[in-house]
Amino acid sequence: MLDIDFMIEILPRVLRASLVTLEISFLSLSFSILLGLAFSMVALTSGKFVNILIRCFVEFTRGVPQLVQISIIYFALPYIGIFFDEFWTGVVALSFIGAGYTIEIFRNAVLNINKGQQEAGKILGFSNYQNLIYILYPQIIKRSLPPITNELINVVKASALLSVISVNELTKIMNDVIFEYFVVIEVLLEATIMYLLIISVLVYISRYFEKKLVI
Amino acid sequence: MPNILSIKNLNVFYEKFHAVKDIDLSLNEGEIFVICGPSGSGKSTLIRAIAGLEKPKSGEILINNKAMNEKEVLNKNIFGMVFQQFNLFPHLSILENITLPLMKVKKISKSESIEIAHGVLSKVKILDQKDKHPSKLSGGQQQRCAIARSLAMNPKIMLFDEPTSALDPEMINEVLDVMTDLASAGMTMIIVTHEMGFAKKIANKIILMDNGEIIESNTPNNFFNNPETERTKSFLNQVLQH
Repeated sequence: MLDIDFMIEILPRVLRASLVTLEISFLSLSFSILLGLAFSMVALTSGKFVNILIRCFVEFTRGVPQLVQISIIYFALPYIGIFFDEFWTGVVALSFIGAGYTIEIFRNAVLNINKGQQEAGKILGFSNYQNLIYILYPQIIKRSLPPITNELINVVKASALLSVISVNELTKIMNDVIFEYFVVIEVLLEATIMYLLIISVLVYISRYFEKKLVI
Repeated sequence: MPNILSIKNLNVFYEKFHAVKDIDLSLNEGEIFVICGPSGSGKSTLIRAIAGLEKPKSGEILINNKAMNEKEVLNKNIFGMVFQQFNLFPHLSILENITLPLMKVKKISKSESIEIAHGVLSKVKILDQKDKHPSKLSGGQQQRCAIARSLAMNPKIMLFDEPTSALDPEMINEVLDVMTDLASAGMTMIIVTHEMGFAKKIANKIILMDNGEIIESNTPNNFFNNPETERTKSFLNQVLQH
């Protein structure tokens, strides 16, 4: 039988940890969207060399295991004189990991808009940059929401990896509780439910915006 | 009328394919210049190169007898261009399609831009549609909006790349009527079209292109009634058969 009383007893700790997971996910996704918009804009308006650099970044974030990337950022940042606490190290790591995907999401969305609009903009006198800002990006936000939602789910799940650098998020607290009380099933069940709840709420919000935004 | 555009030895390549070969042409202010020819003959490439959308491999484009590269041509809004597929901005209303470039490129105030937009929209007779989005309009109305958007930028020359080819037959005339109005108002125009009846009526000069070359350049009267080349005769036979 499940020990319901125990599950209720640990609930405040689990909720606090869920809040940390939510905070990290929200911040990381916001930063990776901003990074994605900025880098995709640079990629679409720059020459070969800059594009190769961005390509390398994308391949790195997508090709190297996330756990390794988190460790690199955790151990490498202090080396170059940048000190963050665990929480912000986690946010930085997940933002970069996310950006590798959002850059490609935005870039592809732009490339999928028919070229004619850009040509029309060019003849009207828009610079490449103005074409992106006024013509293309307003149209790609809605198109990009479904893949961004997938990315959001990935970020929430990847945040569990931050337990290795002792961020007090849900997975870390789950492990702590298990080793404190030697109770496994109840803790796992509660953590699983929390992850599913977090993701459902975020997906619901995202779907809401998908319907709200009209082109 | 003074010379407004002359093109000398223009060559455009797509990779290895020689799409436009050594084209010379010249146009006076207020003239209507029609380019016709079979598909793949290079007529669209020629008009796109004139507009600055294709980079020519060699050749010169002179505006008012002054050589200009693509950048200058685009920055100075020398040309307005109307495309087969309209290319309106789908996320903006008809009015915003016209005011956005006025405000962002010409740096004209919002209220003045709206005034200009109202002017051009009533010229093409779709002022009543101004608050709708392009997808809510018929093809003919969308193309008229595209013409209005180009006109608002006050170009010296209007380029039309098969403006009626994507339209249902009953909408072709409303677009051709607007173009005829423009011509009567003295606008200089270069038109790529398959509408031979319209070409005959409106053109001052008409050329036939094939394989990237100008096969014949003539007055519309001679072009249709007394063509110089066999190629023109067979082209006209094909397009005028029905």
